[in-house]
Amino acid sequence: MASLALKNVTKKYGNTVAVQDFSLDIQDQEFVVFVGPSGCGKSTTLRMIAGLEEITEGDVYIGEARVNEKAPKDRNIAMVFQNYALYPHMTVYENMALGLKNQHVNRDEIHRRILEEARILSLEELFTRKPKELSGGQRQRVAIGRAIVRHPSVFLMDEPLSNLDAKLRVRMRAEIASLHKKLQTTFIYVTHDQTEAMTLGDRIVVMNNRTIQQIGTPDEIYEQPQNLFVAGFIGSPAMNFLEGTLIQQHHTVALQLENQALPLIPHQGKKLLEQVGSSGRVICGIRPEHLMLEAAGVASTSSQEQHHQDPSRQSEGISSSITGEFAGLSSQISLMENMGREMVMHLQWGTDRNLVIVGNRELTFQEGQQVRCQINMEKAHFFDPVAGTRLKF
Amino acid sequence: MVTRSKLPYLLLFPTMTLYGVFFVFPFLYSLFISFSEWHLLTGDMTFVGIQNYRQLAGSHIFKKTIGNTLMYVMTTMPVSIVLGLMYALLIEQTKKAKALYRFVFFIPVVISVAAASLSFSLLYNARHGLINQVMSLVGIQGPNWLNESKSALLALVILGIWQSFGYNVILFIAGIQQLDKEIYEAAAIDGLSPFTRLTRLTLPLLSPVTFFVFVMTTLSSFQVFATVQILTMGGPNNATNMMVFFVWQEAFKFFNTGLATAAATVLFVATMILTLLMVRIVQRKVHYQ
Repeated sequence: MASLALKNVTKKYGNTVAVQDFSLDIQDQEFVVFVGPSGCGKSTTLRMIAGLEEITEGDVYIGEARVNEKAPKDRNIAMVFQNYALYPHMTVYENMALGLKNQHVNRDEIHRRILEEARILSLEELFTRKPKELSGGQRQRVAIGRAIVRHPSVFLMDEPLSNLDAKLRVRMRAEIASLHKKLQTTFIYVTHDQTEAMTLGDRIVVMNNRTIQQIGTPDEIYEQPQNLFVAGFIGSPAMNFLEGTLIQQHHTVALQLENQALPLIPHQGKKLLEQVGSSGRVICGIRPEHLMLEAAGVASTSSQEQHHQDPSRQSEGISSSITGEFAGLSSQISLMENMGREMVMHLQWGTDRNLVIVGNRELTFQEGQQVRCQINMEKAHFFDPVAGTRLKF
Repeated sequence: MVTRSKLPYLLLFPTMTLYGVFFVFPFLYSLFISFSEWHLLTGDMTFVGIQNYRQLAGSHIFKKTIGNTLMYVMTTMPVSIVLGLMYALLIEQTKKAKALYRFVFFIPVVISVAAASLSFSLLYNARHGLINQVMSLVGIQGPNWLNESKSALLALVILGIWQSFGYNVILFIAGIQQLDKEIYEAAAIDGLSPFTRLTRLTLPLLSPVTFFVFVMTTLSSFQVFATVQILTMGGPNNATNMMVFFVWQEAFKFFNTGLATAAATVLFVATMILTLLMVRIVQRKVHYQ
């Protein structure tokens, strides 16, 4: 078990920068997830921690020791690779034993450790099989088993579930979470899947374009995205963005969107006006579950929205809840996707502008229907359209 | 209208016809000739039973050619495989000029055997050859390479290694490039030393390529002919007489076609048995992924 620190770490391949000025402190036993799109530098950062890539600038500390020049084997880490990287000509048992043999651990101790860890991962039946005789999930468990028998201070996992089918991925995700609880060791996990990041991480590091975009708990990342990239990357379906201009309407402030205006909540408008320049341009971000549809004078809320509303508001009924902090936008349903548990609806408004809303699948709307989309402005996020940074209110 | 059941046979027909005409028929016909006395010039053919095989069994020269061929195979094959693997590993570890090295080592494969043999005959020249001149610089009196019984076979072996080793280098390089780099990263984290990585990972993982190289080099070594004909004509005193050269000599020099085809049949059966044995025994140690 160990804490880990990266201080101003940069990786360059010739003139190409792969990771830029990456700094992060990871606590002992913490589960940290690096998430971001392909090519953002998350795997390179993990590989620098493992010692598989040289660090161009900056320092990496495992525990108290600076490990920049240490070989991977001397860093007391274990890594699970995307393609498992099992030794194909060796049995499961030999795969798990090879690293320990190399550390000159005695044979009885090796056997004891392998049996112990194999029990956790249900690998006992597979000892004599070779990797080609195993399913994807079994290979993944062997790769994890090979890592845990070494009793490392830090576990590094590089997109370990990306080769598994959707069902198995969900199961293995739960197994990794429970493994972290059992082992109580520091985990660093790389993924491009924001669901894995949200469900597994104590903290999430969102990366894009070789740099850190935001570090925070899953709630912080979801509720308070610090820029447009994080807001758009985390959450599925992705956050809706409405670009418009703040205008003064009598005593209130509204967001002018083409020929429609959305009135803001009083405290939002005042603070936003102070932060935006003379152009008044802002981007309003709103998650699909914070939108509601209204037709023929009756509003139907999304299932999530009903869940998130406070009890007093629910008791007031749906129709009355769309007054106050809600603002309406005239639109048309262009596509409805039945996801089983819920319905994802694509709305078109203005000149070819789109909104996505997640709703209850029992809703009676139809494709092509004219609706009024009610936006819960209390849940809205505002961003500077030029810098992409979050505007506080 | 071709029925579904006949279609596979129809598709196979052109290939099977070519195979039958150029492989099966010549083999069966040569088998038939091996039991006959057939004079190439007159065309007279007489069935003689196993007389040709009896003659081969009693032939001192044929026994000598078998010995020479086995000696040639048992030296050329392992050395060219080991050297090929070694150089492939070295080339793949170099960071610069990989393409140049590959090109240099592939030259022997594309040079014609005749040109290579003539070049080597100059190198082997007892008086003016480069090899003996270099040896004389360190005070060693080089042999008369191609004209002494002790050195002539060695001279052919060296040329054989030079010819096959470049091809083996390219095959091994292709094999090494196919190896999963993540496995080596896992090995680095497991702390495997370079030697352990070679013995526990690279060699076992390359075993399918090594097996292929082993079979191909063995078979091509058994069929050595052109270098013998150009450099030594089987001499001196049959010291470099090989099985294929014996067949050629008996058929086209002495016109003992029956005896030549009997020898060719023996060579065919021997190489077939050897290949089957290699597949049975060696393939057990090959790790297919």
